[in-house]
Amino acid sequence: MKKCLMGMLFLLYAFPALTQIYICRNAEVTFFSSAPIEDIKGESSTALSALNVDSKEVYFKVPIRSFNFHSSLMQEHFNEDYLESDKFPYAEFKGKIIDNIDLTKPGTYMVTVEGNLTIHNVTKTYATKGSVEVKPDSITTHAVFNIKPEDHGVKIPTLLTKNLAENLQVTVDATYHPRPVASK
Amino acid sequence: MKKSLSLLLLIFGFVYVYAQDNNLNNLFADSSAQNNMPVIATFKSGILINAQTIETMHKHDLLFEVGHRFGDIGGKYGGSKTFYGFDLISDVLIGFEYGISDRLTVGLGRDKGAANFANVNQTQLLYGTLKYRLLQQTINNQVPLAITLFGRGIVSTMASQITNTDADFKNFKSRLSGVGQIIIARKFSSNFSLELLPTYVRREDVVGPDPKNMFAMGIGGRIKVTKRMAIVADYFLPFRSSQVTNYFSTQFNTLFYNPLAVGLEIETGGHVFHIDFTNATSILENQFIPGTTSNWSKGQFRWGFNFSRTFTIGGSKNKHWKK
Repeated sequence: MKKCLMGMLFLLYAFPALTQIYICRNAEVTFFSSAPIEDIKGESSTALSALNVDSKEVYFKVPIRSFNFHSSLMQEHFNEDYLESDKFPYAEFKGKIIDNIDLTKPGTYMVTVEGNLTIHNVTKTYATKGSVEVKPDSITTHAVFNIKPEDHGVKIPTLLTKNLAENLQVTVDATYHPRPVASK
Repeated sequence: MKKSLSLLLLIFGFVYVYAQDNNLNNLFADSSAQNNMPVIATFKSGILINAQTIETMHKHDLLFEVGHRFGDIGGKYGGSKTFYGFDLISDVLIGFEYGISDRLTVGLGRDKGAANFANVNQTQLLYGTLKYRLLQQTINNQVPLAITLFGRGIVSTMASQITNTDADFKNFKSRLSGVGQIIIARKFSSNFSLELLPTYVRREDVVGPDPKNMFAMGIGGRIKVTKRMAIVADYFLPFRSSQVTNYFSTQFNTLFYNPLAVGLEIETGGHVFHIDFTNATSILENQFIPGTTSNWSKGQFRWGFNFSRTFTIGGSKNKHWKK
């Protein structure tokens, strides 16, 4: 009886390791605009992300201020005039991998991610294809999708429509490692 | 007893498992990576109207600027006959600024100079500036203020006057003037910024008892009204003795007034445009601080504009860019 109980207890304490959450603190998020006058690229390499291997939920939190541009003035305008990063400091994505795959088994999977992206305090639902590579101690993800600034309440002045494309191509790359069990 | 202890442990185990927060949103709730970042865009350009701001150029950016002050709108020289001052240009400036680093900006320019024919008579001014961002305000208010140091050296290239003025140059040194400012600013909200400018003006050649060393306190502010438009204003309080004031009022029949300016700031991409109204006739500090003799209430204010365009000419500061 005692042995049995101890065994059950052991199983229970082992359980958190099974509902493993994977974390990435240096996800790379870039967006690219190709317009007649100029190409514009914004790049962040300090986006935060988490992946629940069991429920296949995905979460991204991207600090707007962490985007770097070729021109510092452009970066200032991006924060001050367009994304208003003092009011809305983060872009967030809450989604889920909808495919019937097992993220605990090593391999490379083509997946579809569905979820809500909030930029500039405006939320829109997206579905995009991506890839997931599961290795024994890490998971790497990659996705490319398009967003329209106007979908998120970011107005581009008519004067600058030739400087900025209507569609921005967003690329997301993240490498996750298991969350240490000890930390909450 | 042992059994119940085990049971307790069992329950505790369950609680432990479910207390683990699997809600991904909350994982980064405490992320405060952003909070020690510097506050940006306290002002939209390096100048307010008459006053400098704490803003410096970004590294490798080049600024081209033009400043203009017209004649009096009202009073003796204003009105419809001069098209409300349009025909009487009081001062014109053309200059360049370049960001050596994100903190250090150097500048060079030419200014017409506006004589008041009392204590300011120098024209044909060449100037060089140095501006250094000493301290930046942070989002978390650990540093609540921003401080920038500003210095301007000015040389008058005009022919020496024979009469006894501040332009009767005896040697090269007497052609020089200088300005030093400690600019202290705070962005109180995304729509409101305020700054103080303790100012020192040095002039090598002066008229009569006019002091070579002069101090003034400046104050300036910006209120954003739309995303691209703001109301800006600045004011200077020059400190001068009653002996100086009396001398110029009796000898030259001239009274001094404190420079006040209000304007509208419009920003589009790399351009910043100011349309402003001020009683100061000159653009540079060595002239408008000691020598503003026009009075707002007599219609002796003018409209003027500052216009600047930023060019990004240098290489990338972002190491990821070329990837």
